[in-house]
Amino acid sequence: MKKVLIVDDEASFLLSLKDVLKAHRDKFEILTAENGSVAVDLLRETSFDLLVTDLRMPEMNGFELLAWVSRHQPQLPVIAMSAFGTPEIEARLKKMDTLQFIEKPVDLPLLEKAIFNGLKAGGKSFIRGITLATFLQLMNVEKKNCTLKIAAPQGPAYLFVASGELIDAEYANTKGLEAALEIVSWDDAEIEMDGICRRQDDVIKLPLGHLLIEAFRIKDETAEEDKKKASEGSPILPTEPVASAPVDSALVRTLSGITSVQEFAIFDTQQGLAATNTGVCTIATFDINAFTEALTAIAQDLDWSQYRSMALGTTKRNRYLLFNQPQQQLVLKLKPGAQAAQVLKEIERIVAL
Amino acid sequence: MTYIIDELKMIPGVLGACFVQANVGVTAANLPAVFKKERLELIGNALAKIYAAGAATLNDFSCLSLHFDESVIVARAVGADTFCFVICDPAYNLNTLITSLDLLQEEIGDHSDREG
Repeated sequence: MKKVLIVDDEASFLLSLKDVLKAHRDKFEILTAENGSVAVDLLRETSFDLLVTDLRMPEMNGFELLAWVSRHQPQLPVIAMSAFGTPEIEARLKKMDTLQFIEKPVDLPLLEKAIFNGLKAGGKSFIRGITLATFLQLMNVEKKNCTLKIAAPQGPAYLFVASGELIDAEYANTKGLEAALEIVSWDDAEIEMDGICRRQDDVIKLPLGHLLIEAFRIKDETAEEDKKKASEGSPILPTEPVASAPVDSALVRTLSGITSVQEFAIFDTQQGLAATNTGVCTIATFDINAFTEALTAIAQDLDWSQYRSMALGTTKRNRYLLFNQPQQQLVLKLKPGAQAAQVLKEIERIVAL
Repeated sequence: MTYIIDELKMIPGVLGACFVQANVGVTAANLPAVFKKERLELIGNALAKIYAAGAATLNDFSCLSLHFDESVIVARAVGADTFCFVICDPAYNLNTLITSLDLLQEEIGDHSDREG
């Protein structure tokens, strides 16, 4: 039977959660721990399929626990809970593809659903273990101070975090922003956490969200260039059916970080669904084909300028945006009250990068 | 119809507007002369298809706007078989235009009720 470990220092919360989840005792077993230290003992003794942890706890807190998991059980799916995020950061974390984030006070049916998703994913789907980028975003939510020692195949590195922002970094002979851009996109990082930030000056001077977006953009571009170089050196092979372009993971991350965007779906050139936001995505069933033909016709008829995007509105004041790009089409559902014009500008700036 | 589209044209950034009726074609327009009737009907037909796709995709679909490099087209159904589209400069005031289209829809609805 699958096992779920829930870590929280509120005994009453753990009791009520156990009570609610009793209904699923034929599907998974629940074990609880009141802090990170007890959780680590349990993780050492027993094999778990999912970890649900609060971030603020006495003794060993959720961050120290996550750092331990990154070193010893990096594939363990994680659901993090916190009561201290700003709405913007919470929205960003909720959309991250590396872990599920639940705000406190916890909505029990929502947590129940997240547990089922986490168990179903089994570390193979959108929920993976903690990545360094995820870890940094959680630190940002909690406005933590710390020094992170990163062990990765690329070598040891250090990140200095003050009030949740990355202020300095060191890796090999590089320092500051250059080192940070290199380190934060590492996938197989093992994190060691020291609860004190051992730097005082902010030499990076870039909000964490922007830094992560830029780092992943650089990483993706480098990978693309490497791929191109490799294909230039390889012999010409017989022509095969053209596969859809791979999903632009930097775009997915960027869209996930735009707070005005409630949902997004990316369709490939064959109008197949290539990627969506995590969680509910009502626009994944959007019939792009139904629009494409008429949009192509109108773009040809109207030869005065290039077609860029379309906005759809409903009587309930929901707004949807469709962006046409050579390799993909984006459909976004905006949050109520979001200014479509601003989002249009932001997306156009992103896709132009 | 003409006075309505003339009012729309007074909104800053609006180049002009046009009414298109299914099976009839353009019933009123005050767009610059470069938009000939045939061209407006082509635009109208394409917009009608996009509008139908929008209505089929979203239950409470109400309006659409197409964004080009140098212009924006805003379209809204104003009756069972009629819709209005407005061509604007990208710097148009969306809120003013939407409010005007809301009023226009009400006005045309009242007019139809009286006629009915």
